[in-house]
Amino acid sequence: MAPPEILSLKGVRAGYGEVAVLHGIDLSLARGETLAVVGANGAGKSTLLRAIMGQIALTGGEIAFEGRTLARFPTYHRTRLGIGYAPEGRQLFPGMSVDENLEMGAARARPAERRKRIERMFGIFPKLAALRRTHCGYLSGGEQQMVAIARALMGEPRLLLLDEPSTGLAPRVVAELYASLASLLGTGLAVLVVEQNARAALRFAGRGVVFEDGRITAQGEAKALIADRRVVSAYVGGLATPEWAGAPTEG
Amino acid sequence: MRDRIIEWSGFALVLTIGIAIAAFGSGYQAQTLFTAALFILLATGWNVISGFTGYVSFGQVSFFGVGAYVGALAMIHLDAPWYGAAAVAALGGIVLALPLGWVMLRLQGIFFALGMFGLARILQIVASSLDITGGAMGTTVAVADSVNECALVMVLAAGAALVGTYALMRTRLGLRLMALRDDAVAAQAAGVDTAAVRVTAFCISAGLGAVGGALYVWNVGYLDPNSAFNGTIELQTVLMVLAGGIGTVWGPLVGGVLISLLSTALWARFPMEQQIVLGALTMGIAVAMPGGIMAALGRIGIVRRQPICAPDVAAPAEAAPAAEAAARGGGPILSCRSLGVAFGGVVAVKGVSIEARPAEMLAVIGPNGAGKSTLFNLISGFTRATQGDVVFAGETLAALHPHLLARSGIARTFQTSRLFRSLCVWETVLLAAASVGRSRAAAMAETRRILAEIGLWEQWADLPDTLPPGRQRLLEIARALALRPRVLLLDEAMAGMSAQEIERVHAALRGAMRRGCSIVAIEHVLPAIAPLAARVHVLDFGQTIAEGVPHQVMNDPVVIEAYMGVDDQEPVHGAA
Amino acid sequence: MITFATLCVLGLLWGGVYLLMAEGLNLIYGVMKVVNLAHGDFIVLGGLLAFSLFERGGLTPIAAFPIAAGLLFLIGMAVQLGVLEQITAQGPEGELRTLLATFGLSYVVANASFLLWGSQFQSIPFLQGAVQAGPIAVPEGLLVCSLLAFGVALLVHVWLTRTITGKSVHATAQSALGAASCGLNIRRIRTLAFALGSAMAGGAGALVISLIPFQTSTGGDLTVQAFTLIALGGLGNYPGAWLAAELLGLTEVFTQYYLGSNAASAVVYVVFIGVLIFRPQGLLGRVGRV
Repeated sequence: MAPPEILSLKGVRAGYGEVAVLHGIDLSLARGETLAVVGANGAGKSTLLRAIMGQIALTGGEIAFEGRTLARFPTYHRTRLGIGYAPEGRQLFPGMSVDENLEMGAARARPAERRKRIERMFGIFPKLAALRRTHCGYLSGGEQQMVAIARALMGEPRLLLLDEPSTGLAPRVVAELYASLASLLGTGLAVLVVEQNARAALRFAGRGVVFEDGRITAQGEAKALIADRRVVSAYVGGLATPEWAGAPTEG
Repeated sequence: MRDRIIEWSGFALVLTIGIAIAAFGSGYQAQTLFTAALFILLATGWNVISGFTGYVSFGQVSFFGVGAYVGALAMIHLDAPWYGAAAVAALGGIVLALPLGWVMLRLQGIFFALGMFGLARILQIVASSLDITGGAMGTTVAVADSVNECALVMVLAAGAALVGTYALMRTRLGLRLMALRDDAVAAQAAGVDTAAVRVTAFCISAGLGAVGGALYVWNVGYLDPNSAFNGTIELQTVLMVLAGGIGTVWGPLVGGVLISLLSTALWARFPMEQQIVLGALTMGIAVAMPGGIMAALGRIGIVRRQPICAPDVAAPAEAAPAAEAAARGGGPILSCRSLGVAFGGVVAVKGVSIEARPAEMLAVIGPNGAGKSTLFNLISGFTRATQGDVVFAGETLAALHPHLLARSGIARTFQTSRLFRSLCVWETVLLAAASVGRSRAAAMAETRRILAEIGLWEQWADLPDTLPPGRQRLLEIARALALRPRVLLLDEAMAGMSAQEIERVHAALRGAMRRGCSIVAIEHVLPAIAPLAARVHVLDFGQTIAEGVPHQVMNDPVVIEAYMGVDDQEPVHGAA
Repeated sequence: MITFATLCVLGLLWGGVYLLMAEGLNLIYGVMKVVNLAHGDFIVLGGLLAFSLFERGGLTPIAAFPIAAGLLFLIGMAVQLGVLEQITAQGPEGELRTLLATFGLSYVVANASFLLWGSQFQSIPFLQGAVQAGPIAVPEGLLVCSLLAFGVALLVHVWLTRTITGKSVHATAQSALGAASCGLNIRRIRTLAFALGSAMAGGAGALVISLIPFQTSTGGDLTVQAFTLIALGGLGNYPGAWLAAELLGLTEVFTQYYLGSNAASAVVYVVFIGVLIFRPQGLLGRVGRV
């Protein structure tokens, strides 16, 4: 009997060298749940995903996937356990075609199974079907992001981690991307999306978490957060702290 | 103080033993000593370019060989005594290194290392094919009268080389070498002419190698291409520096003594296996103890490097000169006119025009990937614009090197801090203060004033790694301010700072503005700089989407949309 | 005219031989961005091993090829796991330490060979005849080595682009993090790549010793020659390396004929430094990055 929680973080601390980035994060995700982590640059969102994938070592706390602590597993093993990861910067194989990129996502599956899964991906991202022989280095940003997500899905994960999928994409492309993602839901797949583009992510997700300086400063139902001034202030800043807003500038 | 006593008494001890052996030892002992001292000299030379400057070379033997040939020719054709031959050889090495340095030092990492290796082979082939060098058969010269004399000269030469590097590493040039090694881009931003500095280091290192070569010929009286450009020399030299501690003054001495003893012992017992052991040792040290013995000593607190031009902590700080308030407003000191650049077809910045006015702050904000940092790279000369131009103080800036821009008054910080890991707080700021043509005393006074103002004076001797992130940012700002800039470009300088630290930065920036400095500040979020900014410029997808006074811009729906994503549609998906 | 044509044919064939000796280095660089300075010493080791097999057991270089390759595969695996994997530092520091470690390794390998085989030049008299192609006489040994070089190059290319293991290696070369996110064990892939690259060096040595006499100190020259070739081709670029090999072969054969053998040995280094300075990205440049 699997526990209801697919992912749980308890007091997670992590950083780079002597610089601490995450200051004790508690977070959990249920099976099939969608969670958006939003916040400004440098708030620690990507670091959170790197910690979950074992790209950086924890300095404290614990991360468990399906009740099993992840500490001793290297990144590739976590993927094999059932976590799909589309990292920051997409990390595609530019010299390989779309087909081959997807193939690598299920390198350990049997060839027939691999082909079946690839066809399934083209069902989710129809645009990619026509580009299957194209080298990924020549795709547009939106197409590359689709390949990155599809590749993460090729391993048939139960949890999907997306790191800033909308970076550098025009608003229309972002909408298209999230529409494709929405079609994935309802199959029990849990999604944790880290986003700078708060609105797109919060509209997509069921629940939202706001990060500021490596801490969670607000959380709740995603739709409610969209309108929350605290979210706006975490990004653009200031709207929630009006003491300077109309003040004359220093001279 | 204790460290200095250990250093110098150790040095004096080794030197005394060396001189004693040279004076009273047997011929065999003197010959062994000569070889050891020769290697220490070569190791010291290699350490200058590969250790302090960070350009690892596998062809240092080139200069040894060239020195040997020049020395031999001077002895044969000019009847030069050993010191004359050594001097001519040093000159020859430097003359060769000057043009070579300009070319070879454009290479980095493996390319430079292997390029030097190739150079040694080319020189070996050249030496085998020329008549003047005696071709492949080699040439003979008048050998020295006594081995003991050779050993004495060599010991003194090696000692002088060590004292010389010690002195070099107490100067501002030493500071620049280390800065270049740690981060060449940041060094340029601090006003260091990296090309000149590395060529200088290359020449010094070449000169030392060449002297070693000339004295070697004097000692053995015979020279052929194989012994002049012998790869074994390279291995021992590299290994000695690695074992002792690469990039430390005393590393070549410590490693040289140890490895010489080891290789002599090996040669006596296992001549065939000697090279295998030395190679394996090189491998082992590269893998397991990259800092060598000096780093190990440093970790337990012995013989750490002392800060360069350290301040007199006891002396009271001079009162900061009252800043004469500069007139505010007026014409722009810096203006970018429809600036643009594209990378591989992707437009990063397009048609951006900004103006920075004296004594005023302009904030540039925008979401991730909006092109903010690219804009700074264009202004500070790290990236060439493909469109538009930058006018600074009435002149159009075209293709100027970053270090020249830094010296002429455009200072910058970097989005992720780029500090010099081996320079302490004091040295980091001093490096910049000294690169704008101040005297040593003035640079030190300025450094002290800035550190006091920004609140880092207490930590002047700390290394950047040991500072919390907010302090690292402060240090980067201090380094930029030490250039006495007329325009200061801050790239997300206040990210990750505590409220107290932001307070300090604000004070320092206000001070700079009072002196007439214009500030352009990139921030991802506005609150950190809003109290200082007179105007705000918003970028998205490389283009200007809004500009104006802070409160007006921050309530602009276009801006909020750029940050948060568009708001003109229904949710694509409800709660899952 | 005949001379010119002969030189061209010889140059192209020698290009194949150079390619054979550089392919392993290219594979290793492509995957790990590591230049193995002991590569040439691996070639020499493979060659001298083939020499002993020929002397003692009468094995032809073709028969010695798999044995030399197999031995170097094991050595490569040991070096990767025992030495290079132990260097955990990233960025320039990691690169530097790796370089210094392989620098030390090259002396270990060269001098171990010296211990076993001494310092004489060794060669295997094998396929000494010539094939007459019209007016041009082509040495058999050269032809066989050259054809094998293209065979191996083709095989590696097919392996990297057609099999799933080969593609994993290729993928890891392009993005290690991407590969790890695909569930690929990067450490194992790196070890495989280094071992294979070393095996290719050993195999190449076993064949080439019938064309070029080897001495234990030849390794350094072979390393630079191989590095020149892959740098000229654009590091990690396989078609580029082939083109570069042909150019280098032609250059050397023509220099040798018109300017003598001293100039021919120097020309590699001159090309090498020229490449580093004027075309560090190689002849063909690089594929655009994501």
